[in-house]
Amino acid sequence: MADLSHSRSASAGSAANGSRRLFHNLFVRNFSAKLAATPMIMTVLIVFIGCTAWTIFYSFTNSRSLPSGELVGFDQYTRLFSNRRWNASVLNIMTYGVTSLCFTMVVGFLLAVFMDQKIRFESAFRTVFLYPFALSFIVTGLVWQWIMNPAFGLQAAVQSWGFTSFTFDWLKNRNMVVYALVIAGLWQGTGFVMVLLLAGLRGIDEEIWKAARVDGIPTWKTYIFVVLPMMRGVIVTTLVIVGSGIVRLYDLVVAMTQGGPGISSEVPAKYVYNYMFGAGNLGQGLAASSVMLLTVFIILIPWMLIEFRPKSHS
Amino acid sequence: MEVPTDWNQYVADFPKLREAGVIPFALAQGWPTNGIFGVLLAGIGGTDLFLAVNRDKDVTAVEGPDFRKVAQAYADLRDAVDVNETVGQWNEATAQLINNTAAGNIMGDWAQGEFAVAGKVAGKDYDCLPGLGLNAVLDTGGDAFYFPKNDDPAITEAQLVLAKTMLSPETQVAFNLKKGSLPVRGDVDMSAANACMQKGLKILEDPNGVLPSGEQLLSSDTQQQLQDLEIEFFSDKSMSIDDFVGQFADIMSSAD
Repeated sequence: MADLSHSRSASAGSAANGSRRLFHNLFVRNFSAKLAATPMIMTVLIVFIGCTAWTIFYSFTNSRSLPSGELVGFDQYTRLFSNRRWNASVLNIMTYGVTSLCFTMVVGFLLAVFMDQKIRFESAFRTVFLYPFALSFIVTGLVWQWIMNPAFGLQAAVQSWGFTSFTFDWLKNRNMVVYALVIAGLWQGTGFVMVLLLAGLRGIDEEIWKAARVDGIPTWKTYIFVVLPMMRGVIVTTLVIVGSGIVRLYDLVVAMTQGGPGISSEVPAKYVYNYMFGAGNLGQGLAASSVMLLTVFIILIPWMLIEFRPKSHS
Repeated sequence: MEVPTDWNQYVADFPKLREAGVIPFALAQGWPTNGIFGVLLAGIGGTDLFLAVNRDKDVTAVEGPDFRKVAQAYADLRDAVDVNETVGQWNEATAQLINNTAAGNIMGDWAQGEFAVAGKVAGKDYDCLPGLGLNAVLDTGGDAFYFPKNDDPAITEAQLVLAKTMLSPETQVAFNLKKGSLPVRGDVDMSAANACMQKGLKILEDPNGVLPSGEQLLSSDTQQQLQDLEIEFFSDKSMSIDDFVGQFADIMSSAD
C-alpha cells in the first residue's frame, strides 16, 4: 500500500511538472513571436480549416439557395458523378492540366536557359516575355477569342492572303477547344515560369559551371544533370504555383468559350460557380468543390510525405 | 422568296436559302440555344405538352411521341446549323438578319429594338411568327424593380412617382415602341405599334394565349440541368434523340 501511494504521488508530481513545462513551452517561451503569429494562426484555423469543414459538412445536406442542416448522405455526390457536364469538366481539366503543365515547364525552362546565355538586351526580352502575365485571364481570353474566331481571326486573315484551305477553328471544334485554352494559358503563364526558373539558374554557383567545364561536360548535359537537380526548390515552387492556377481555372474559360461549344470546354470551377449561384443549389456546388479539394490532396499528400519526411542524419 | 407562314415551311426552305448563300438560321451560343427548345416545345409540341412537361413534370409526356417530335425538330435544326456561323451574343444573330446574311432567328420580341435602331420596318423589312405560326401563344416574363424600404418620406414619395411613371400608359407605349416589346398592361393605346407588336397584342387578348415561362415553372436548379443538356445536345451532332429524351426524362423525374 505504502509503495503504491508513494509511486502515485511521484507520478502526480511529475505530471504537474510536465504540464507546467508544457504551459511554459506553449505560451511563455518566445512569447513575442507567438503573439505576432496569432493573427495568421487564427486566419488559418477560422478561414482555411473552418470554412473547409463548413464546405464539407454542407455538401452532405440538401441545401439549396440557403444552407440547410438536413443531411442527405452521399446524394449530392451520386448526382455529381452521374452528371455528364461534371464528368466532361473533370476530363477537360485533366487534359488542360497535363498539357499545360508540361508545356509551361519545358518552354519556360528553355526560355530561361536562352536568357541565361548572357545575351544582349536581356531585360528587354524578359519584359516582353513576362508582359502577358500582367494581363488578367479575362483580357487574355478575350484577345485569344478574337484571334481564334474563324470568322474574323487568324483563319480569316490567312485565308484572305490566298491560303484558302487553311483552317484554324479550334474554338468551334469540340475536340480541340481545350487545346485552344491551353494556348492562351501558355501565352499568359510561360513568361512567369521563365522568370522564376531564371532566378533559380542565377542562383547556381559559378564554381559549378567552372568545375563542369574543367571536366569537359557539354553545356546541355550540365543543365540537365547538374543544374536542374540543384534547382529542386525553385522547381517545386513553380509547380505549386502553376498547379494551383490549373485547378482554379475559370476566368479564362468564361472569357474565351463560356464552356462551349456545348459543354466541351467546361471546367470544375465553372460547375461549382454555376450550381452555387446560377442554379441556387449550394449542396451540389459544395459537393463539387469538396471533390476538387480531395483531388488536390490526393496529388499533394504523397509529395508532402516525400518532401517533409524526417531527414535521417546518416 | 416568300415569307413562310409557319416553322415547317421555313425549315423546308433551308436548302434553298443555302443555295442562295444565306445562312438559314442565325444562332447565338448560350441561352438563346436553350430558348429555341422552349419555343419549339410550345410551338410544335403545343400548349398541353408544354404545361405537362414544364408545369406537371410529367415523365411519360417526355417519353411520349409528341415530345419526340419536338426533339426531332431540335435535332434537325442542329444539323442544319453550321457551327462556324454561330455567334456569341443574341444581338449579333439579330445583326446577321439585319445585314441580310441570315434568314431567320428565334428570339424574344426585344430583338425588334435592334431592327428599329437599324431603321427596319416590321411587316416590310422583316416579319415575325409568334408561336412559330403553329400555336399562337406567347410566354411572358419580365424584369423586376425593387425599391428598398426607408424612413425618409421624401424618398418614399420619389419611389412612388418613379413606379407610377414607369407603369403609366404613356410611358409603356413610348418605351415599348422603342424596345419592341409588349406593354405590361392591356388598356393602352397601341395603334402606333408595328405589325409584329400588333400580332403579339392580339395573342395577349386571348386568355389562353399567355403561357407561363419555364423560368416561372421550374426551379433554377432544374433549369440549369436542362440548359446543360440542351446545349450539349445541340453542339454534339453524334448525340442521339433517344439519349437526349432519356436524359431529359431523368432530369424531369427529380425536377422541382
